[in-house]
Amino acid sequence: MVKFLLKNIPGLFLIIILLCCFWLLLHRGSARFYSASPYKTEATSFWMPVQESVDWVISFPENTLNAIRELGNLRKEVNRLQLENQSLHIELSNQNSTESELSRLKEILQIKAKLPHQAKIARIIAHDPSTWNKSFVIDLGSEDGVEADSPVISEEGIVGRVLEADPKHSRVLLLTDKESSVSGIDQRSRVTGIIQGTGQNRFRYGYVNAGEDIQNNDLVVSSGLGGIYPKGYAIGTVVKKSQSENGLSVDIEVAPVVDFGALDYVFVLPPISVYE
Amino acid sequence: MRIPKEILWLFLIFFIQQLPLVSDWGIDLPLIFVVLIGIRSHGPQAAGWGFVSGAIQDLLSSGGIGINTIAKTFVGLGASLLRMHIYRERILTQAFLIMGLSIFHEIFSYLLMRCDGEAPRAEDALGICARSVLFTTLVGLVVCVFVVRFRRRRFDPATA
Repeated sequence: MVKFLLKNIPGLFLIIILLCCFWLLLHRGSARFYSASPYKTEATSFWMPVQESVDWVISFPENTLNAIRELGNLRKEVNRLQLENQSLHIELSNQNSTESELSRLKEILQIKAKLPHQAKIARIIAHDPSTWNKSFVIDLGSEDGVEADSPVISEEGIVGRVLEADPKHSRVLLLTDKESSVSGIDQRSRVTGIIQGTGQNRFRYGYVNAGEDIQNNDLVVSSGLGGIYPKGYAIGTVVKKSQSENGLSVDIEVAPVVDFGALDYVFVLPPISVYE
Repeated sequence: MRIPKEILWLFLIFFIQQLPLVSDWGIDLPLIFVVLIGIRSHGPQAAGWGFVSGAIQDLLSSGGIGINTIAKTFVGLGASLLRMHIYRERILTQAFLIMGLSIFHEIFSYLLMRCDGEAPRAEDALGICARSVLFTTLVGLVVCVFVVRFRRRRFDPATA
């Protein structure tokens, strides 16, 4: 028997294979056969690591070559993206500054519409290079109708007056300059005095008698006297009051309402003689 | 050959000087320029640069012409005379020189303005002078650091 079996191994093998095929033919329609049977799971868990390893070994040289090939492309892509990023940053920053300029100009136009007199909008282009004088140059001149002694204001209050105007530009003497003065009135108590520039970021409220009712934080506005500045524009607030040495008057310090360092645009009004 | 380079510096200085807050803080960049030129030039040349930068400052300012011109001419001359007695390549020496000549410049300007009847009250003048000297010296110190470093790198790389 054994001898017979050993002699007919190929035939037996064929019979076994045929039996397996027959068995498969019988069971192929059952759901269990196609679903995750324990045999399949076992087979998969056994085979997949082998498959992966073989696949890795086969694909390693190809992957390496691809990676080397892509490295050059990636470097170019990174450079291109960095440049694009930089240009987008610049574009964004330009857009932001344009937007802020636009909103600032809108604000200025709204303020201009509210002003009682025909005001011209001027941009400050240069500040005074001397430490003793306070002035700046604006981009409007006599060709634009600016004249000497035209009052210059901002949305906060009085800035100064036009000192001289050439055809294209004008020099504005700030109210803080030592040569500037304006007639002011305390908005609360209606006490009048002369606001004088000191060359620093402070005014002196002069010619006020000792007994007058002036308190800290009082707002001082222009009185309209003097023939240069129109009436009712803010000048500053009282920050310090002290008795003078002779006792007849008081020394009053006024802080400007205008932030002179932050000005970029100003309004030039026509000279007071035009409308009064 | 040196003049065009210094004229370019002068243009740059006056461009910066007229930006907001520079003169508001009392910084006198032309004075720093005149002192730094003065310690490397002979008397007439230093006085000339002082005269030119002072005249430009006066022309661009709302004040009377002459105050900065005269004061800066003397500053240039003073810096040139002092160069014989100091080691000029030291940052602190230059900073002290800027401070000293800035004090001289402010006092001299005040006295000139008093003669013209344009001077502010003494307490205001003191405030203006103090702020100007302080900020000009501080900015001068920063400028000196750059100038000394640059010169050392250029003329004496071994110690740079």
